[in-house]
Amino acid sequence: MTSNIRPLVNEGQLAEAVTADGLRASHDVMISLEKCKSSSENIIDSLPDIFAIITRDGRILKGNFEAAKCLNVDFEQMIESNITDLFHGETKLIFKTKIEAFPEGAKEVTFELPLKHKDDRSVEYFWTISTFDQLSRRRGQLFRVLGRDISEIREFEKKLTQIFSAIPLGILTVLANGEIEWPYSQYSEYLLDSSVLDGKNIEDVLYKPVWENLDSVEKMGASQLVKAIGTDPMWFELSKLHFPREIFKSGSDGEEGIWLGISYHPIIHENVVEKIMIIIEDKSEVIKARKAMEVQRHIEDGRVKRILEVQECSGALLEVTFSDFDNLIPRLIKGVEDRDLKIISRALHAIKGVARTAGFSIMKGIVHECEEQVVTNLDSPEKVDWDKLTYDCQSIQKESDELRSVCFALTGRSNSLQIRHENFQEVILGLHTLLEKTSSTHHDNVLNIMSRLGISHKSKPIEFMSFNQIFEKEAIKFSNRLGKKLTLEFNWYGASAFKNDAEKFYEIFLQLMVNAIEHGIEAVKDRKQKNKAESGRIIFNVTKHADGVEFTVTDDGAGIDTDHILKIAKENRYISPKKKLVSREDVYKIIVKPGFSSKGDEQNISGRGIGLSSVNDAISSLGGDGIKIASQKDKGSTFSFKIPLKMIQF
Amino acid sequence: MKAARKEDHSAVDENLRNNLIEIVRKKVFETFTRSTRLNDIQMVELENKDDFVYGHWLSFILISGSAIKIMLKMHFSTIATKKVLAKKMRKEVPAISDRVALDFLREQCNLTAGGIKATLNGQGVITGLSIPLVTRGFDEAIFSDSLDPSKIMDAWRLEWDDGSIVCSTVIEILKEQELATLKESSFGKEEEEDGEDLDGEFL
Repeated sequence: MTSNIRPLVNEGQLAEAVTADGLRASHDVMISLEKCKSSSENIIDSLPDIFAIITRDGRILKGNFEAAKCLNVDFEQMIESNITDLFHGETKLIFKTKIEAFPEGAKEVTFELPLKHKDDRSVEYFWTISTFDQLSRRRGQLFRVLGRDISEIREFEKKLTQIFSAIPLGILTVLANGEIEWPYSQYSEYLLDSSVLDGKNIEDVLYKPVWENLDSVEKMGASQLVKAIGTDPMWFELSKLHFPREIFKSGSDGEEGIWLGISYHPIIHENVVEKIMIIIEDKSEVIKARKAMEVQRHIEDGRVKRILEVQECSGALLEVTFSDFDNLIPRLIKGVEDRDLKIISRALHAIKGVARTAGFSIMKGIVHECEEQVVTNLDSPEKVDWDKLTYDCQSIQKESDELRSVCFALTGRSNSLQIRHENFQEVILGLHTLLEKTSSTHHDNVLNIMSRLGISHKSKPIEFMSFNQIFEKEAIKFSNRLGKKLTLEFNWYGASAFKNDAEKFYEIFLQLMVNAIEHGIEAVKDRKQKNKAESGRIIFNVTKHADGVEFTVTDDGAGIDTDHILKIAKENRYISPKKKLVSREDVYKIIVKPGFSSKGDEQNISGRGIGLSSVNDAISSLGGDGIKIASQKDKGSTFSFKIPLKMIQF
Repeated sequence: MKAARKEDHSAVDENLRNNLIEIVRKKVFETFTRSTRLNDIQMVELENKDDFVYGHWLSFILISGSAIKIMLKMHFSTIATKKVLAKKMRKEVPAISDRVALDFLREQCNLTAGGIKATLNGQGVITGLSIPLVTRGFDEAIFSDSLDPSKIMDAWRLEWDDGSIVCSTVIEILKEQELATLKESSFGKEEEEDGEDLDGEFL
C-alpha cells in the first residue's frame, strides 16, 4: 500500500497539496451552485406572467422575458426601464399610485388593470404587488410585481355572462348559510321577482312568496333545503325527494301567475354537499297542458265509464231511467228557480235512487254531493249558496244529457253522422273475407283498418243457439214466479251475428220471450180450462228469404186482448176516448208506442210497459223494418221482424 | 486553522485605502485594455456608488488572504461585451455567442484578480483566488444590502466609444499591520508593470 504513495518533500508541500485539494472541491461545489442558480433564473425568465422586482418609484431591478416583451425593450436593457412604462395615460397613473400608496404593513395588493400591447390592443391583466422582503429597507422598500393576462378568462366570463343573460332559466347556487351567491343567471331575478339576489336567503325569495300554495310535504322539504347542505350526497338525495318541484307563483297586479319547475343539484366537494345549484324554469305552458290533459283524461274516463254503465243496463231499464230523469230533472230545476229546498231535496233523492238503480255512478256521485249540500241547509235556506246549487243542478242535467247521448250512440239512435248499420256490417264482412284471402303484404293494412273501425280481426260471429241455455234458465225463473209452465223451441238453423248485433238480438228475443211469458202464456189452471196442454210453448224461428232474414217468436198463449189494450190506451190518452172503430193493426201499433203499458203495476217482469217499444227500436237499429204482430184469441201471438240478409250469417 | 479576527477599520489609513483602490482600479484598467485592445477606454466615477444594480450580468471573484479580502465585481451587458469582442476578433456582433461573452467577463475577473494577487505577493501579502463566477446583476442588490463601514467600497465605470462596464470592489482588511508596505504614499507610482502578456490567455 505504502509503495503507491509518492513521498512528499516536506510538511509545507503536504499542507499546500491538502489546501489545493480543498480549494478544488470548493470550486466544484461553486460551479454546481452556479448552474443551479442559472437554472432557477431561467425558470423565472420563462414565466408566462409578467414578473419584476421594482423600487417604490417603479425602477425595474429584475424582470423576466414577458415583462421585457410587454415593455418592448431588450431583455438586458430592462433594468434601465420603469414598470410604469407598461402603461399609458390614466392606467399609468393608477399603477403608479398603487405602488406609491402601498399600505404600510400590507403584504400584498391585487387589482385589475389593462395593458396596451404592441398592436395597440387593450388586454386585461390581473396584478399582484407584494413586498420583497429578502432585502433590508436600507435603500427603500422593494416590491415584487406579478401581472397575469386574464383576457381569455374575461372573454370566457363575457360569453358566459351573455349565455347567462340570454338563457331563459333561473340558475343559481346556494351556500351553506342559505344565501344565494353571485353569479347567477339574470333570468333568476325575473322568475323570483327580485332585482338583486346576491346574498339573499333562498327560502325568503323562493319559498316564502308561495308558502300558502305548498302542501305539507313540500313545506317540510323547503325547510330542509339549507340543512341538506353540508350533508353527504346520499342524505341529500333522500332529502331532495321532499323539496318542492313545482310551485305556483301568483301574478301581481292582476297578471297571470306562473308555474315554476325547480330542480336541485348538489355541488359536491370531498364527499360533502358544499353548495346546491338550483335550476328554475317557467313550466306554465307544460303544466297547463298537463292539467288540461288530466281534465281531458278525466272526461274520457267518465265517458268510458258511462259507456260501460249504459252497456250494463237493459234497454228496458234505460228507457225507464231516462223517462224518470225526464220527469225529475225539470222538477229539480223548477225547485231551484223557486228556491224550494224541499222540492229540490225530494227531486235529488229520487234522481239518486234512479241513478243507483241504473248503476250510473257519476250521476249518483254528483247528485249525492248536491243532496248533502241541500240537506245540511234544509232548515236554514239563507245559508245555501244558490249560485253553486244552480250550477250543480245544471251539472246534473248535463250528466243526464251526456248519458242519453251515450245511450243513443250505443243503440244507434244518435243523430250524429254514422255509417248505416247494415252498410257497416257489410264492411265488416268484407274486411273479414279480405283478411282471409289477402296476401301478407296487405294483411297489416287490413288489420289497421279494422283496428281503426274498432273491429277485432279475431271476432267471430256469435251463434244464436248460444242464447238457448240462458233463455231456458230465464224462462224457468219467470214462469215459476207466475205459476206457469212452458217449453221453449229454438229453430235457429245455424244463424249467427257479430258480437254487437248478437247482443241486440239477445235483448230482442229475451224481451219478446219475457213478454210472451207474462202476457201470452196462461197459468196452468187456465190452460186446463181451455183444454190446452199444461205447458205453454214459445218457438223461436229463423227463415231465410231472398230479401232478408225473418225472425219470429210465437207463443200458444191467450193472444192479445185488443179490447183491454184499447181501454188502457184511451185511459192514458194514447188515442182519443171518443174514437170507436179501431183496427187490430192500430191496436198493435199502440202496444209498441214508447211508455205504453198494459198494466200500471210496476212489479211487472217484462219491464214497466215499455218493452215492445225498446224491441222495436233495437230492430230498427239493426236495419229491420219494425216489429209485426199477429194474434188470435186463445191461440197465441206471433211477433216477427225482418233483418237485411247481410246482417246474419248461416 | 484559526480564523482571522475581524478588525474595526472604520478609520483605515488613508494611504492604505487609496493605494488598495488604486491597485484594484489600475489592474482592472490594464487587464481590460490589454484584453480588449481598446485604446479609448476611460475610467469614469459613478454618481451613485451604492446602487442596487449596475448591469444585467455580474462576474465576480474573491482574492483572499489572512490579511486582506478583496471582492472584485464586473457589471455588464451581453451586447456591450459582444461588441468589444466582435471588434477585437474582427467579426460581426451576431457571430459572438452569449456564452462567449459571459466567459470573456468571467475570465476578465480571473485575469485581473491574478494581477492583483501578484501585486500583493510582491509586497509580501500572500493571497489565494476563488474561481470566477457569473450571475445576474440583481445579485448585487443582495451583496450590497448591508453597509459595513469597516469595508472599503469602490465602484467606477470603464467607458469606450460604444459601450461600458461598471466595476466595483469591496476590500476587507483583516490584519492591517501585515499591509505596512502598502501604506507608503509612493507605492502606486513605484509599482512596475509585471510584463505579463495577458492578451492570449482568454481567447
